[in-house]
Amino acid sequence: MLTCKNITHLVSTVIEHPPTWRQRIAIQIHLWMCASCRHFVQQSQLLQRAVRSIKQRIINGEAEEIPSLPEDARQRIFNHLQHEQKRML
Amino acid sequence: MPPTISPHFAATWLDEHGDMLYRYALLQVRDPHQAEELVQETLLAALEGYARYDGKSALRSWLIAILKHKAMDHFRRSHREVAMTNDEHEVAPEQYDETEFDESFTAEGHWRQPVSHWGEPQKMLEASQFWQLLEQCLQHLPTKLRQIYLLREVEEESSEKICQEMAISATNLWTQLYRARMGLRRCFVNHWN
Repeated sequence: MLTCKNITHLVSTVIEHPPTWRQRIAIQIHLWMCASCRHFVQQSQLLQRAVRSIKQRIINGEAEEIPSLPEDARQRIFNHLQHEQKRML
Repeated sequence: MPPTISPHFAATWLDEHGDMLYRYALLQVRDPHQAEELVQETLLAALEGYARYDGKSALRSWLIAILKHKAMDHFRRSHREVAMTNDEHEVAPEQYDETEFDESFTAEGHWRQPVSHWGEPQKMLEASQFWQLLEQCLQHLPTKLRQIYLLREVEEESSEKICQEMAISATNLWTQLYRARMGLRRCFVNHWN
């Protein structure tokens, strides 16, 4: 009989470490009976989906939850690049 | 044919892509100074390598790919530094307390508190608080754990590649990913209302 803790282990690494068919059946039976583990699976899937979209959000300029380049840092980088670019030309 | 280099490139790239590169760098390294350094190194490498840019991928993707390589170099350097001061070869859980998420379960392995239903996923993904909390919870993970987790989920690197880069065994990788996923979810559950 799988415990809820076992379920979290099996479900969390399902891609890296696929369960055997016996384990799959045991997981399904547990999920039928256990609402908490069903919710755990839904929560995990949502977080995974969100994390996987972060890079695209950054590229699209949507990730406003992450700080943007501060003005002083921008100026420092600009000066450095100008200097290097003159050297390269 | 790739355009020739113009003196305005650096300024234009910094204007148009500076925020994007800095956010991506911050996601990787967390420290603002290191993130700034990564953006600078990336733009320098882009200037130097612009003749090799074939224009097939979008400029943003090309710049991100350069930054990703710079970030990997940064990780390797920092791991070497850690390795010199630390005899352990396996990834140390650092200050991360394993009992923190084990506390979720009773001794018999049942949930101590019922896991609640979150409601409509699409609604959550549209809320700015969702992304703010996700960002905070990612930053809250110990550095190595976060690096491994981001390599897997954000970069979608293969397990083999991550094990090689981080010099860990496959079993250790599964353990680290489990910890990262449980830690992230737990942080989220504790702060999401």
